[in-house]
Amino acid sequence: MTNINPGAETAFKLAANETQSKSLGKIVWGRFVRHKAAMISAVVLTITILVVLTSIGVGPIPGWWIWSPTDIDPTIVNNGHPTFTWNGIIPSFGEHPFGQDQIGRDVFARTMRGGQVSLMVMVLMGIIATFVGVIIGAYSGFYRGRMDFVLQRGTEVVIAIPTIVVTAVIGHKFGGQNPALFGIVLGLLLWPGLTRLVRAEYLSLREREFVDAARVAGASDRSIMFRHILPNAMGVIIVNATLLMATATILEAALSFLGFGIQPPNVSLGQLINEYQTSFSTRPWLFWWPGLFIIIYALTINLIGDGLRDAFDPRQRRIPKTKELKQQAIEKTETEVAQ
Amino acid sequence: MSPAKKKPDAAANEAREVTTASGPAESEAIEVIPGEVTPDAVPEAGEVPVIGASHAVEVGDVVLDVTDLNVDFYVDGVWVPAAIDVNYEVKAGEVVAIVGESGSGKTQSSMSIIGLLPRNGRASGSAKLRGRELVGLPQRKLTSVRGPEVGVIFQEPMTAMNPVLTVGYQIVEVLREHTALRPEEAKERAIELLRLVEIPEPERRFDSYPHQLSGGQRQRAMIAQALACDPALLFADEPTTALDVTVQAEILDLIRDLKTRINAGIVLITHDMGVVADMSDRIIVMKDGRIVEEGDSKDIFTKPQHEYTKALLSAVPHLGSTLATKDPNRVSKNATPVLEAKGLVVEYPKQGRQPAFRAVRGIDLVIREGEIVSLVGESGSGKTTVGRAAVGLLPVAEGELTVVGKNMQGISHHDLAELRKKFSIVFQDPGSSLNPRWPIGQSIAEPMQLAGWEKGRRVTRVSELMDQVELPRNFRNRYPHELSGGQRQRVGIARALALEPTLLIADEPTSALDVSVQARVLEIFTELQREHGFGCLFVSHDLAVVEQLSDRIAVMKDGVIVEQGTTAEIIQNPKDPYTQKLIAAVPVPDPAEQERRRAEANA
Repeated sequence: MTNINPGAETAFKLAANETQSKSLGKIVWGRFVRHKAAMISAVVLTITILVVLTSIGVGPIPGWWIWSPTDIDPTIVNNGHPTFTWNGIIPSFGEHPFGQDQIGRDVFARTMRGGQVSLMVMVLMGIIATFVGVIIGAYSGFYRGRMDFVLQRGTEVVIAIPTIVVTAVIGHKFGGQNPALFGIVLGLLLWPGLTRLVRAEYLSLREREFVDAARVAGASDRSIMFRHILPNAMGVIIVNATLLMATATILEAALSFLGFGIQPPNVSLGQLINEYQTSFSTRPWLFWWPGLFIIIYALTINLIGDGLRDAFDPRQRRIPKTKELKQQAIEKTETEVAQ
Repeated sequence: MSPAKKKPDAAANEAREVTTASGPAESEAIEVIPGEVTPDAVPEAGEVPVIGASHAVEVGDVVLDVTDLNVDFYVDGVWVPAAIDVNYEVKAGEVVAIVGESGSGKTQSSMSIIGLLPRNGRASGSAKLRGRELVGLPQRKLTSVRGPEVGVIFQEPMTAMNPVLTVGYQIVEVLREHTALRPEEAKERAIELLRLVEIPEPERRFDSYPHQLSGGQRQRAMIAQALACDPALLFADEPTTALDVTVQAEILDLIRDLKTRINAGIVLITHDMGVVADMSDRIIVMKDGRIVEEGDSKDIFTKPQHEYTKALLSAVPHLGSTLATKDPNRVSKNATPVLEAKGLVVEYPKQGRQPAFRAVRGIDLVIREGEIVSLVGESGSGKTTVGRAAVGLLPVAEGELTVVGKNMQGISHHDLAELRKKFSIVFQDPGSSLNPRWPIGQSIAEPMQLAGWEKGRRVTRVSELMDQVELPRNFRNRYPHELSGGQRQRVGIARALALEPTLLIADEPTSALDVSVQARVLEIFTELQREHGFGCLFVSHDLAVVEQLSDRIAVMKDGVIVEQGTTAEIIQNPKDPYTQKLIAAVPVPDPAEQERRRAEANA
């Protein structure tokens, strides 16, 4: 048998650039890369995370910064003001670039620690909420009926639990020293939104014919749910998990600011702001920096989530701007005239 | 001349709002002389109602003159041409059919004329509607053209009508937005239009929502909407593709009837040569954006000039053309049955408040080894349900269904899993039945993987299967979206044959494909069937396709088999009135034959 037949004309065209087999993942990546705000955010976030992790070190691994968050420098340099200045275009860091607090602790080191703790809460919360949300949503949407009813009523119970009350209790019981616990609790409270979305996605995907095709081929329910349907629901999941993490950053900061979250001597970005709120007029830089990092986290993650959502949405084709269209039209007529 | 013109700005604004709010179907500005719409004008049923007639065209006047029309789309930074140097004209009272495969630019070239291109499209050249240049006309001026001058009938009435508004409201809205008709006058006029398109009980249907109407009635309502403003030109974009044959025949009758009544030029965009033969006066054949042949309907059918036209015509299955080559004894009467149904009843279980629905109500059917049996019927007849019950996707409610020696009623999970290695199914829509996130190699290999084959054996078998369905082997790493419809369906077939099944269910495998692609896929399918000798249940609504393939045919209606017999018996000598009606409704790709049949029907 040969490959030559009239119907396979396109096949030949495709065979010519055979190496260009694109998975949907690659297409999504290609579209994501073109989203400028999301790409800039991704770079900024990566650099921020690198700095936050390496500067004061993680756990037993030492970092490159001379001060640790708990070190007290008895000499208050420059009255505690930030020593960071610009020498023309060359930045000069000085001894305490972010300044010092009342008792001489280095604000840079403390902000970095706060950044680490907030990052940890955010990531843990993101992973747990996504995992729980996807599993419950998948079972609920795939099996429908009684299973769906039970799971969804359960979900509503979780929605009804006030986050602030639970975290306040946890904060008091465990002293607010354990960011991991805090992240896990937030994760266990914030999955319902994702569950509803995953459930909706499964409800529509389970009616697609490839599910029947898999079933006829003999695939088990679990295989259909997680090998067939899950990759198709990945778009919704990734996008919403990212946006959820952005929310988590702000929520953690807010709770810590209210005194319900991380508590001293441990440090988180929100807790730093809470701790220094009395010196608002005398040492404003004490919240500039934690505030800046909260904004960086929340904004970059939100923008990345936004970029992902655009990249995953097949209907959102890049439509040329009217200006570009006109430009193209002019170029075309010019080449025609030239010919 | 029209009251709407007294306040041009307001009218234009309103028109724009309509366009954005409810899509192109409603974007019809209207020029009507209000005085004509009086209760006296409501015609008796059967009488010829003349509505509007505000445009002064006589039969034979050139309504649309298209010269050097080019349409391009801006895709990934380059302009991709969709239509190149298109030239044609349409006269009043004439049906011009534009024929071509999907992607040939037949729809886009027409939509560009009325300014309904997507935002990344552009048109150049000239299209004159009764002397007025339409290409390059700004949208706000086009709204006064769409409606009074040009009407459009879309392919899928369910999506082209707004599901949350009543049919009557959608017609009245059009009338009210652009004329000075009072609400009650507009309503009368809308009912009159519904009567014109032969919707029964138009007064009651006026308050129905689109989903409450049948497919055919919806299409009629949309035609009424397109005609509301009495256009000089009507674009019909695949108006019957989404409909059953018998309904299609009715709609075609209606359009042909309207052609003489409304005195408009009709542009019929379709890929169905049967419809073309039935309807058109002139034919334009398009391929890859260019017109390859143009001419009188009869000439094109009897002496096609261009190679492509010949190929297109030869790909169209003719009802009754392969009967001579059929051997009724190809499959021995004593061959073992692979599927046996006795009094089979299949129900869709009740969901919430919806009671259980009995889709198949007691049928008897036997498929022997190596035999192709076709199940034919219209949508809702339960034919697909039988196929799905046979592969265990739906439970058997009553009666007996034996598949490859196992009773399907109350079958255990374990037995069903074993059985699934022995049968498989090819689905209707290859775009939906392949997992979009899996490379096709993986999709083809899945049944083998689930049957526990080791990797090396799977890889060899996948290559072998891809050769058999004539797909290049290097396609195995491609994703479904990179393949054309025909290629995807071949992947579906390869996957279904992976484990050498003894029974194959084919659920309308070619209905989503173009004619020429369909011909090739059917050829491959037949070859493979001869080679592997599996028994096959071929579910289809297309009698011409069924006749080509099958050894026996069973005709289904409302969940019951009304007639079954060998292919020759059913096609040449149908006994049941429903079968007769079904066969009579199939459009024959031959204008002379169609004319003869029409004369016969009218006599």
